[in-house]
Amino acid sequence: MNSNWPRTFSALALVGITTCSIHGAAARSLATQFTEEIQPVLKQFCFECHNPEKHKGDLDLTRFASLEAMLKEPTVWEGVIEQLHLGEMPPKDEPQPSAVERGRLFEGVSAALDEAARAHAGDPGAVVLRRLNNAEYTYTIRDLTGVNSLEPAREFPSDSAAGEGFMNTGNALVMSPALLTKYLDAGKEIASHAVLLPEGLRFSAHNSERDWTDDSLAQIREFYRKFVVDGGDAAANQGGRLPLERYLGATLTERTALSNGTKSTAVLARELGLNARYLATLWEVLNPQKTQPASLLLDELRLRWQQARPEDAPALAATVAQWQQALWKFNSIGHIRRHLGGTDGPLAWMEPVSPVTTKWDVRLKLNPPTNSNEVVVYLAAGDAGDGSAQDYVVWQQPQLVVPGRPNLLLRDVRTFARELAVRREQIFASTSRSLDAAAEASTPSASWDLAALARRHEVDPEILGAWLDYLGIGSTAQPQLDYFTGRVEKSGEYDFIRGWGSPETPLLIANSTAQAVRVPGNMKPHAVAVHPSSTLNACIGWRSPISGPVRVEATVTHAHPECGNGVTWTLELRRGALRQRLAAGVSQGGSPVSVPPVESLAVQPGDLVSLIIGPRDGNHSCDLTDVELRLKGAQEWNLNAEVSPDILAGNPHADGQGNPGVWHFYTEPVSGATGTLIPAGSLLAHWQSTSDSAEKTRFAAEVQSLLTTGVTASTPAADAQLHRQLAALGGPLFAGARNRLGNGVQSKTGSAPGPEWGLDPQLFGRSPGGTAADPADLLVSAPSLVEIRLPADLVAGCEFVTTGVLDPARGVEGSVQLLAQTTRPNLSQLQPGIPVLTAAESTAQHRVETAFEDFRQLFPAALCYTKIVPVDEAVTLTLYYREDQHLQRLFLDPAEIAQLNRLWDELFFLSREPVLLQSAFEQIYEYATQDRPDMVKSFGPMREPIQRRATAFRQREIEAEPSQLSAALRFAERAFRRPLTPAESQELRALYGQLRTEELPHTEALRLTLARVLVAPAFLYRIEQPAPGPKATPVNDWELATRLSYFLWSSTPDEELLQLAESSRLRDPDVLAGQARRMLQDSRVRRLAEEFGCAWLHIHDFATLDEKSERHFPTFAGLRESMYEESIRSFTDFFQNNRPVPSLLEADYTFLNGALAEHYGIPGITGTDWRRVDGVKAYGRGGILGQATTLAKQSGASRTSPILRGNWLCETLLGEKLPRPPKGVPVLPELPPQGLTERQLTEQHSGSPKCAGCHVRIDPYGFSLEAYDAIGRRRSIDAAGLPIDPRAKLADGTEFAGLDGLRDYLLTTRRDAFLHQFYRKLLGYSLGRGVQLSDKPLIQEIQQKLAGRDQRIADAIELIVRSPQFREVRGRDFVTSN
Amino acid sequence: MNTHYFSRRTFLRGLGVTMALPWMESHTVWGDVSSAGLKLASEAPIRMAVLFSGNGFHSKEWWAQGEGKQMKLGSVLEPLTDFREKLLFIRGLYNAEALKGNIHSSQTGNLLSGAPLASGGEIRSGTSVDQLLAQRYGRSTKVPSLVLGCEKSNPSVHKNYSMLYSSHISWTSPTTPTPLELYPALAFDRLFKDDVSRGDKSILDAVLSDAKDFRRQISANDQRKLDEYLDSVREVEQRIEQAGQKGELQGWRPTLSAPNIPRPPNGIPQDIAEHMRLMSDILVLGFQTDTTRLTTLKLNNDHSSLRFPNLGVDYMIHHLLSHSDTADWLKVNQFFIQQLAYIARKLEAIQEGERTLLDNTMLMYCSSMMTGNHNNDQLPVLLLGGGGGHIQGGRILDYTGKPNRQMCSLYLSMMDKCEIRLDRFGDSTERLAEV
Repeated sequence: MNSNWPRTFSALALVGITTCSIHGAAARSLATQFTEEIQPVLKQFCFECHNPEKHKGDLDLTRFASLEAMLKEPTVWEGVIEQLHLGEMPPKDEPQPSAVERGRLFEGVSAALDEAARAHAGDPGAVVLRRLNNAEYTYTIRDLTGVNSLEPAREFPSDSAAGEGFMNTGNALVMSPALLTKYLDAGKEIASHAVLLPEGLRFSAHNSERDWTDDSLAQIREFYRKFVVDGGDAAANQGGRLPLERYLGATLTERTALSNGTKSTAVLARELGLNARYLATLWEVLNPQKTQPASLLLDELRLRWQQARPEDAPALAATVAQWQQALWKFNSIGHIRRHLGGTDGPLAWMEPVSPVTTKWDVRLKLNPPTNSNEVVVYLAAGDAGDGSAQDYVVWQQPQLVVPGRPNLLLRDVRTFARELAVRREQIFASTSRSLDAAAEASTPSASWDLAALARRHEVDPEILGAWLDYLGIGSTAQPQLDYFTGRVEKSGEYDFIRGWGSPETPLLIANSTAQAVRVPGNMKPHAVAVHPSSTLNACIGWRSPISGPVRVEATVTHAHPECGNGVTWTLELRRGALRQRLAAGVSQGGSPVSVPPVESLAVQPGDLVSLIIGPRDGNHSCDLTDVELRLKGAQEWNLNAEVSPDILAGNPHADGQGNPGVWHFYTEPVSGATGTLIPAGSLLAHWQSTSDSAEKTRFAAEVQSLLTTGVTASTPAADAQLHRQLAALGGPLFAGARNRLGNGVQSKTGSAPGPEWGLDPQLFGRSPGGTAADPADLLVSAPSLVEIRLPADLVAGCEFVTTGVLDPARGVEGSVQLLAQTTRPNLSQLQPGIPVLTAAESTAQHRVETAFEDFRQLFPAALCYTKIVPVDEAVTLTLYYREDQHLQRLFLDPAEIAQLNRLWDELFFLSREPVLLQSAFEQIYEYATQDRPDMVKSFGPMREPIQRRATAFRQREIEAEPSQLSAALRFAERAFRRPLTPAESQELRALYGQLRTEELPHTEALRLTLARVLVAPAFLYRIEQPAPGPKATPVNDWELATRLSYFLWSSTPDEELLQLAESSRLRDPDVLAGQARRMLQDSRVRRLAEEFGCAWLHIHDFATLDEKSERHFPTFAGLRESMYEESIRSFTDFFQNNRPVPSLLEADYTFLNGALAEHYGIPGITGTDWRRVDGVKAYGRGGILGQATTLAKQSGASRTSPILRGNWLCETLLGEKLPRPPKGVPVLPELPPQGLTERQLTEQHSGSPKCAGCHVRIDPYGFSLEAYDAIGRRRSIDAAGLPIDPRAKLADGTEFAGLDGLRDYLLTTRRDAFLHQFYRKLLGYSLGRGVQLSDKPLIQEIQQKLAGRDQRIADAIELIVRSPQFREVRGRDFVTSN
Repeated sequence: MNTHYFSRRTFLRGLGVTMALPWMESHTVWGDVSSAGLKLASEAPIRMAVLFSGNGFHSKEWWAQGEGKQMKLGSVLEPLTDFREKLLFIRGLYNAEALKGNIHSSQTGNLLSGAPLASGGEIRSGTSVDQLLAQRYGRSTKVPSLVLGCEKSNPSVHKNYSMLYSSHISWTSPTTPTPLELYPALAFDRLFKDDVSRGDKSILDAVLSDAKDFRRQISANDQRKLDEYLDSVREVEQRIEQAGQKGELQGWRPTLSAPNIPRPPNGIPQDIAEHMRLMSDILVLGFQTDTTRLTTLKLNNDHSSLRFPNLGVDYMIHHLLSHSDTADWLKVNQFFIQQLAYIARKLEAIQEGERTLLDNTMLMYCSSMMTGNHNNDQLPVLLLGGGGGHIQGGRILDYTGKPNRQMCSLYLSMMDKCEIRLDRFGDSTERLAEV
């Protein structure tokens, strides 16, 4: 035998340090006992074999001649006791001692051993230097770095157990070159996770700079997220909004409590998770303690808030939001340059806007509804919520404006409309005659004079003239074209692609060469292409130099087919104001569209045939369109051939024959094209197309009838449209009259039938008080609402134009809001979104501005720019943009601001932003200024500041090195679990220095220094420095902290333990015990559950157990993690909640998830969440005996094994020792023979006399668990379908059945044995060694002291940590002999 | 024979007496072969591999009769039919100390040392024959020895003996079982990964100095433990120093200078057959490139819980299967012997001068017990390969009933082939003359 005790005791004897109580009275009686009771029995029954010659079992008992000799080697005698106890000795076939002799021997030896145990109680024992095992190493690394995803020991060799069967025993924890290499590699890997910061270092789950930057970004975003909401459109840089509704809601809900002081804003904020600072500020603003100066918006908010109920919070918040929108604007980050040293561009992302103005321009487009003959315009003036003092407003010269007509003052509308209405009667009455005259004038070769013609047909010449213009007769009115004037000198970098128009769009270009290029649309050789804009068509017109029929051909090809939605095209004839559409369609996708040829179009000189290309649905992206236009009559015209060689020769451009001004390149609005189209199919269209004079006369009469009678229900649609067209006061027939009447018309005709339009002219030109003013101005005093009714057919397409100002005479200190719109406005109070009108430099202006600023200060539209990385730009120089001053001002205390600043600083530091920015700048500068020389002005000034920043940053990096090195030393201190000695500090610095001299860069040298710490013996081993001499002494506080934390947490001491060690207080046993209790509550005690609890039960690492047949148990692999988790959680609960030790067996609860509950047949538990489930005994669960882990582990791959389970129960739970199996054990059959249960099979095997001796002690326990299959499921029949028999009869005759019976037996009859075994294992684990004889008193003490206290685990642990075993170490010179 | 090149201290270490420091300073190392004078390297060196599987074999099918080509083999040995002329079937050897403890653990941990095993909380065996050779003979190669395994060790204590005994046959010192490499990729790296990172040497110097400082302040027991660390650091340091410096190999050159198979994938293969095959490949590669001359391959643990779905045998783990003599047990036995045959076949295909690599190798196969019933009063032992022309195969050696039948006697004989001649090893002072 080679165990500790013989050496120990001989050592004690040698150095003579024991003050041995054996020399007392008890010793004398023991000595007597030895000579009189022990020795004779030994001589008679043992010496025969155990003598120096035979030396059976390496044992010579004859050499123990005295009690002293016996007590020197107690282990031998423990073995003797064990053999006696097991009934192994003397061998069955030798003479046996009588019961009395046996008892005498047993008692004598036991008494002697007890005496020896007492004499050396508390001996710390031989605890071999412990390397951190793989689990401890992993946990330690995680706790040191704070990174729980690290798995540094993943590929390390697995650890072994020794001592009491745990992996924290030094003897079994070996080192080898291969393992050392792995430690070195792991150390470097861990060091690669160190993030070097300006002031030190921390560790990250990642080990790339990119990930660290992302971590840092995420931290800042997380910081922001605590205060703001991310609303709105992400692309538009929204987000970072103040969650105002919650704050307003809080003030409303708790208004009473806050008002009467029963609750403070701070308490309320805490309750609701709101920011206390802002809530207090808001409350203060809503409930000012003293009178505040008037502040327009806040006053109004207070008013509304006072009347609001809690449910009004959203509406209140919505109003604030409207004002936020009005008072702030957001800029593109890419345009902000000043923070980088630029001198232009916006100042910030969010800039204040002041909706304060000195004049209010109105341009109101009038689009009358089709079902009404009037349009109403309202001119409103509100008092801006601050009373109407001096609110005198001038609406300057309100008027109607439409292109191509003289403007019409509002003042004159009433008279004007009246006059035109009269005129209309005259026009309608002479329709037939006018048309006859027109027919005459349109005869080919007709030559006529308007006045004569009018006279001849008895028509007013002005009226006839209007008809002829309308019908396009005579060349008096050429249509006015809006020509392209800009010259395009090159396109797509090709100077042979030139044309007309805007460099953007619309434009027209032509290719003067035979080279096909992309610009980026396709330009074919000699092609002509156009590009409309979103609102303007691009048009090509051919103005006829001839009279006669022509054939028109055109082709339209979308020239940029890869994108865009195509274009619209129209082919049209224009003659005077007349427009006739010849064909129309859409071109998309690259296939040429050939316009159906128009045959025999009769043209006159001056007629315009146009090809018009427009954007489709207002989308003009990628709308370059290849066009071809050919005309063939007496001569031929070809657009492409004639203009592509020299497109820039002129616009209009001559044709190939030298006729000037044939090709016209122009644009027109997509909607509302000028000119009039006669409705197709109408009476007038028929009149126009017929050449029969009688018919013409008849149609003329019918047109007149239509006009004078009016439209009825039976009128065809085309005629109704014709009527609308011709009756419209703004229409073509009234052009002459309108021009003639002009502004300042005086009524000549008296009142006309119908409504009175516009306003009384008397209202204009004077103030409400009667003072004179500009005669066309309308003067009002706010609040005022002017309602103006206008004839729809006159104002269609017009704009209502005016400018509102404060009356310079009387309204200098007024403040108003103005509105002009076609629906009735409400300006009874201040409206967001409408500027406030004041006089320039006035007090009122200052007051309003101040009020806006007050509001802005309290309600910024955004608190911070939460995107950080700008997303609004294709190209932006700014890598990370910070704007959070409002958050700081309103929400953060100084500590939070400091934290935020630190996070930002880290982000810039980790990303090396200044250096990156410098290189980004150089690239962008190059890029931007090449195309846009004008950008030099913007970018130039930034160069020097950016360079300076980068240089400063590099310097800062260098200056950060010493603090990072110091941080590495602090890390070493944590890693070594004690302060560094001066020599160690010096050596670590020296190593770093040496690595630098090996030309390693700082970061690499620093990481290697960290790796060196992690491979140092002071880290890898739990080194304890015993006192010189042989005597046991307490370990120092640091070593004690380490002992305690590795016992309970399998990891390094935490800050609290280290501080207690630092202040030398941990050595106080009360402090130590208190710490143990604190640590047991901590979640890290899960490691104790696994490393001690599961290891004790032999289920450590069960989650990877690979011993089950997949064929028999296909579900097992999927369940084993859950099974293990149940056991870990049960033990964790046991430790954390200070449960009684017997609860390990008798708990009526366990921890389950859905899958495991299903496995156990426990209903009502679903999902992956873990929970405590009570009442599980009813399902045969609860306690370690009912866990799938223990049941499955002690089974075969495909069937149960009562022997394994029984053996485990004996040895592991009860601590019984079993003799070595005999030789020549019979072989088991491969599979149970037919008809035999697993139990019967075992019984058959164990029935052999060689085996029975042991198996009667083992198997019954296993039989009682037969109602659980090999993966722990309950069963009533076994795999062969035979019924289960869970009855057990023990060797001593005790009978019980099933798990319940077994549990009761263990908790009653075997309670002491179970407790003893548990405490023995716990003590062995806590000490990292095997339990020895001298530990016996401690185990007994625990068991006895806790007998009246439920045997609670924390009490037991306290007794252990207070014991000398735990707190002391054997002296350095405690000699052991070999 | 030049054992005097080794210091007495080292010599004592080899016998299981641990003395600390300074370690191996008198040693010559890889790359310095000629001055070591172990052997003028004009012909290929002798390699030795030990293969182990636990729990013994089928009680009726482990046998051999006859000689040479006429040798008849029991079913377990069928895979070796082609190698009968190079096979020594050895019967009757035992390890006296292994009879003394309990079962399994205490039958395995001293298999290669013959040393007594400590029970209870202690760990103590003896330096195993492969590691003794590694510390001497193994110094001439880059990697002194490879210690490979295909089953994770069992972290518990069984019948009062640490289960590390049943997981380790290779022991660096009496208190240090050599950690097993289970990962094929990492074993491969150990042989062939040469890149030395900058700074490694400085780090190792520093921690070595730490350890020396601590050593003065701790107890003798702890010093012994810390010496494992010191020795490890030194060995790694020496390897770093030697990296890239090819020694003058006079005359003889290995037939392969770099690996001819790819680095195995990371992780442990799910399939046990694949795992064993990769480890076997690495064993062969280590010999062929002369990166190491000593390899221990522990195919499974004693008290093994491997299953063999690849053989259709997954209803029972290896250990429980061993308690029967079924057809499936036989199938599993053959599967293990196939690994030996696989290695032998590969070695035989490699020509080294006049001989094959198999001729220059001693492949030993052994187990902890004869059959699954823990009977170890005689052990199953095979020796395959020519041992550099020193071993005559095709024979059966039967030591049953003879006084000199210690396993350690066999080890003395095997060490002789490597010209490491000791007077005693473990519990033996005599050689097996017939080997």
